[in-house]
Amino acid sequence: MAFPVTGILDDFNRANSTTTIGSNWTALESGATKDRGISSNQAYNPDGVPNYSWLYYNVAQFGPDSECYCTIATWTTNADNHTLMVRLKDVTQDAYTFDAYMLQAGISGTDAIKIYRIDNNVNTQLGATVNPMMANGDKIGIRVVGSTITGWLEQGSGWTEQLSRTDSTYAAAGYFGFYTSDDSTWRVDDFGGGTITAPPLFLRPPMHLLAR
Amino acid sequence: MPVAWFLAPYKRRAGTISPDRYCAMDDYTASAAWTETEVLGNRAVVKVRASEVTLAAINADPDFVRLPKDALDDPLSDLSSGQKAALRNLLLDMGYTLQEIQARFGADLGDYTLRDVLRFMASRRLKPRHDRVNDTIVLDGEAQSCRDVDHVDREVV
Repeated sequence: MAFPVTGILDDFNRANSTTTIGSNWTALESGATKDRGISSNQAYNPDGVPNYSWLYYNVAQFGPDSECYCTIATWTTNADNHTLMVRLKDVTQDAYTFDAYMLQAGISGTDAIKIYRIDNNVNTQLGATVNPMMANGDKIGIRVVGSTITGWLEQGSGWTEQLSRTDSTYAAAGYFGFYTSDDSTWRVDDFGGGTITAPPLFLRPPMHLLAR
Repeated sequence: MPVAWFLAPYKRRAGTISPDRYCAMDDYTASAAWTETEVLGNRAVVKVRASEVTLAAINADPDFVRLPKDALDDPLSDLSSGQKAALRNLLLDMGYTLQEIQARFGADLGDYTLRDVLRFMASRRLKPRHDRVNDTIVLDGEAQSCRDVDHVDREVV
């Protein structure tokens, strides 16, 4: 199945802000130091070090089979990463009990992409790290179908699957989320995704309708 | 290249915002193909394909335990008493009780195969949580299922 098969949910095209990226996003941690913002129609962190934040798209839950993706217009310059979450659940603010599957991508040191299972805010990496070279403008994506979680990268010539992992712990639909690194230089754009519906099986017409 | 099975620890990754743990076999990813199933006791059962030199290096790493057979259907009947005792002690160290081990394997592990032991190792794992006061990862939550060892076996050939 090609990636993605779903559309943009938030292009961040709205007025600049230093306190919010919009009402469709909720932080998993409260407090003014967890500010997020909009700059030139892209999401960013106006507060920088040491203020990071976990956000989820509160409009709907997706799945259980689902995908989400975004454009990393500018990578974080800290020793930190960008992440995407699917099947995110238990999102009570400040409880640190959320579970999810997560794609993590970063260019600090050796460029790396990893897939994690999150249990109670504890990240457990699934399988090995992969190391594609990444640059500003790349797009990252995560898809979960059944117990298969895949990580995707688009660098100007089409999406390619970078890694595939198997885990059946969290099988229900959930929210989408992403993590905002603690520096003010990164920019994220065009957050997309949705529920993946399996294509219908080819149904053979009833025998009496088949051409003789 | 040859394949081998290991019991590997999970390590805490330093310098991360959120508590982050990874299978220590990732330290050897540059020279090995591998996949894992997390099991009881903050460990993973890992199947690895690598050169004999790399497998020897992993085996020499004190954090890792190379399991005594390389194929799931290999019987344990030719293991020494000492090897079988070490395997039994490994199960105890993981957190399985003597009663659980005896109920599954009786008096002699030699009557079973590597698959039987690995499936037992993968009976369960516990959901982790973050002790924010002490900044430690604690594995004492609800029991969760492990990935099937046959699936792990098929992924690395």
